[in-house]
Amino acid sequence: MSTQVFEHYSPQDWSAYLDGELPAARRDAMREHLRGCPSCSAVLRSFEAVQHGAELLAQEPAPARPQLRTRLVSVGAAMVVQNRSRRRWMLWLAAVVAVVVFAGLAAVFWGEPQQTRAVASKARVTLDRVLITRYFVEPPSLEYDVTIHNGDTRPLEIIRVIVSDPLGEKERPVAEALRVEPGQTLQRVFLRPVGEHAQLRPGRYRVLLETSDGRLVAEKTAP
Amino acid sequence: MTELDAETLRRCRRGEPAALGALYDCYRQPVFYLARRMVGETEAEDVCQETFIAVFRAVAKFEGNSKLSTWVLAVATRVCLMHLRKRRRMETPAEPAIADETEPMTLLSPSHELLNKEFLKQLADAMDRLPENQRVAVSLRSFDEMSYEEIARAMNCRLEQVRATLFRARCRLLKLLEDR
Repeated sequence: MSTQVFEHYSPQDWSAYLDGELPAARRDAMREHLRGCPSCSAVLRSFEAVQHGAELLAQEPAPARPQLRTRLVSVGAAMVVQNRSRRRWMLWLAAVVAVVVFAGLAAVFWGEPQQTRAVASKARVTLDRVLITRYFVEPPSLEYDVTIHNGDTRPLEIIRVIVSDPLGEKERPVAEALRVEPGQTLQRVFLRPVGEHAQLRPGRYRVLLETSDGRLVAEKTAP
Repeated sequence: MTELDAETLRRCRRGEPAALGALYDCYRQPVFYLARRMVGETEAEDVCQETFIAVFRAVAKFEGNSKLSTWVLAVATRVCLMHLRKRRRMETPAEPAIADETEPMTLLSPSHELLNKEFLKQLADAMDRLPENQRVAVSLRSFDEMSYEEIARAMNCRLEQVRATLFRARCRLLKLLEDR
């Protein structure tokens, strides 16, 4: 081992030289300097050995875990879809708010009564009850019992089911891609996970179906 | 390091499982290596999982301001540091933390310069004894084509800090190798 003092280029310079992070002119000058300077060459060689060693270590194969991969990918896919639908829903909500504000302003200024347009002609959704299910599902969940009736002659394509409630969640997608045939009445339960000690709270519990034709909303207000 | 192609990234943003699988396969090796260096072999897998969960959760928001690999490794770096912070809170430090300062310059003796298995083992041990920021910098620099700028982005620090940290790390590694 030897400890040395360098007159021409500092060890910091050689470290940056090794990384190719110096301006071309300085790099060329240092390369030239190396030819006649064994001590600088020794510094560079030491840095190179450490760097090359670290690169070799980085190539050590990571253990293959096919089951872990499968699980991560399926969880990841569910999360991406959930995030996308949440973002889309927020955009949609912003658009609805803008329309409502505009309609409100229009009513104030022009005094015209506003008509609410039906979004899906003869399809109906009702929220039959809301309760907290603790014993049959893990984790405890807010249970939405919903009836969907399609009185139309065309199938009702539900893209997404979103719930919101006063327990903290503003909107949360709970199901996707449902189909209700013409004349069919479907009874479904949707679950939203809640905390271990969550209780029903007064306020508005809401189920929103995003369909290919528009939206269907059902609400229940707890006293 | 191979980069994921634009089409696969687009499919990742839509949440297609095959594309997310390709992303995982592409970056599993560097993420695992970084985790192994930062938190040790036993916890590396947990960190790896947390990293990919975080990556999948945020992939739709990735705007392409940096290479995808830089972004993934930045996420991995944050997860590693969080893990270490959590561990520190739970443990009483056995020995005082090593200060992040420059060691006197030490050179490797010629026998050390052979990149044999023994040397690599000693180097791995020495890397495990570096301060956190030096360990991250050296580990990130070990991946092909990680420039100072990319490392700075991953570590959320200035470019000059990367240059100084890498230099200090190398000096310390040489000292630790020589002391053995």
